[in-house]
Amino acid sequence: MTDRRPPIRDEGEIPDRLAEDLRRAYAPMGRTSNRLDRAVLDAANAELGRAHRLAFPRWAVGGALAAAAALVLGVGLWGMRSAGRPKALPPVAQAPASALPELLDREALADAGIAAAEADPADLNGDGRTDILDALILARAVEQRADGRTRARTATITAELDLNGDGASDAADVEALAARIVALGRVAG
Amino acid sequence: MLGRVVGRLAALSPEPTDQELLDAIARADDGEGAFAALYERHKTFAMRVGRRFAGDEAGAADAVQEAFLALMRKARRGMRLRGKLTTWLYPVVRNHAARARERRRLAPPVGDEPAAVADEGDDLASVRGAVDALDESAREVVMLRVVEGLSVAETAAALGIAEGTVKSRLHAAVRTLRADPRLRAYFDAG
Amino acid sequence: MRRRAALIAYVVGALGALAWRAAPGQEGGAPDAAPVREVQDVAPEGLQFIAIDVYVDSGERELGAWQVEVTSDSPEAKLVGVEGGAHAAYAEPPYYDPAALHESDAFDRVVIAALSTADELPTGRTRVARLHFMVEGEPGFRVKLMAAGARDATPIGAGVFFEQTTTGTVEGGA
Repeated sequence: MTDRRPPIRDEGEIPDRLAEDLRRAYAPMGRTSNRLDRAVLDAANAELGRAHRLAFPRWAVGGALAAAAALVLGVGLWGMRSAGRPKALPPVAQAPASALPELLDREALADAGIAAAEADPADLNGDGRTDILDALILARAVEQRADGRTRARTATITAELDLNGDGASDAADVEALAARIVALGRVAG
Repeated sequence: MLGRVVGRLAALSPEPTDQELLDAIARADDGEGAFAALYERHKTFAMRVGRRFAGDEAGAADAVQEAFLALMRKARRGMRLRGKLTTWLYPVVRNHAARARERRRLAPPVGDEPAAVADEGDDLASVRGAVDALDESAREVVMLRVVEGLSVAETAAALGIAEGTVKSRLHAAVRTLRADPRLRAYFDAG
Repeated sequence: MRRRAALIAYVVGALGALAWRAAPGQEGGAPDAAPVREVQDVAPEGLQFIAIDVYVDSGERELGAWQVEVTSDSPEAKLVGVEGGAHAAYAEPPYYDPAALHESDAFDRVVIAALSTADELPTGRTRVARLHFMVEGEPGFRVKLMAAGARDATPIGAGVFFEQTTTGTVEGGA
């Protein structure tokens, strides 16, 4: 692979030979063992395999829901006619009415349930759980951007942080994320 | 196996971009091959970051594995890059590595293996010694900017700091390195 | 009715206590240095007002964020107030779910959390929050640290403790 590293002459202070030796000196630190390579790829493949088993095309999900609705309706109508009196249809599953801000992105929610549980965009440090440390990462990034210390256009981390999808990441996102972190999960009312 | 899947992807596109590979994972279109290619492309970067912040081999390996699994999960939902993938990977690996180091501090492992030490000549040992002696904020900038070859903007994005801060830290780091007698030959020759 | 009167009496008392604590010279470093213990024995019968001071010990590291779960074994406990801590960085009340305060007759748990990007952050043991409860019968509380982080949001090993104080009693209960 060609070396795409840009020249560093814009700072113009590190001699080329020193820069080259720096790369050589730290190159061995990047070596990974075969065992690690295998572990990462196996874990990823297992993850993908699980996703394949759970992921269905949206048309298939829609078709299945339509078929189920038709079946329920048909059974209901048949029951009403055969019994001669109205019969309650099974209750439709409803998402709990929650006053908490919705922070999971809609793509994830549209995915299989496990995807929504495992892949939380608010898990900013990628440790598999969303807690106050993620809110602190967000708060620091928002503060740095507000101070002009980070360019929003180039700063990946701040760009990832528009959690409620309103086009901007700001203190409201921090508040919303913190509110979600301490939420007790009770249904209001 | 890795070479085979990377070769298969290479046959489709001379050198797919990171975004193309992420898209392939999201579409479940040869997702295994796409992930393997991404891992192959960025594992050395991730491992260098992991080793620097975890302080031991096992912690670094854990951090790399956790980071790439997080990447896989994110890619499956459809991940849009707004810069280099390394600017996303850097804080994730660093945080996992710091967590591993913290775990190790709380429960020191028995018979822990030492971190890999490069078999290097005197010059390289001097270079490493001088850079390792920098304070953490200066060392991070030198590593990302010089060793990893990120641009100023990419370094700023990875560290969550302003581009001007990257430049000033780099200048300060170079000033320190210039004063280090171990590196005099480099600067005198330049 | 009696419970409401007790609550009003408590609020008035709490405001008085706050005014006293806000007076110059009253807020020293003592709370952070105080040992964790029950300050006052409580009568198991009747209505009591309990203050739970939550402490986080981050050792030598600066405390940039913390998250704690407080649970109660008491069948008749009600969370009636949430205050901030002793250090300026955590002087504001922490984040918590208002449902724990308003919608729960029988308190069982609350998650409280706070973060700070202030220049000055506490180290060592610091009081991060004070919770006020109204309890009938024997009070029993537990605290559990869910997360603690340094200034840069990296996780840190920290300890969590609480100190329980009875701030008032009403004979005979509700």
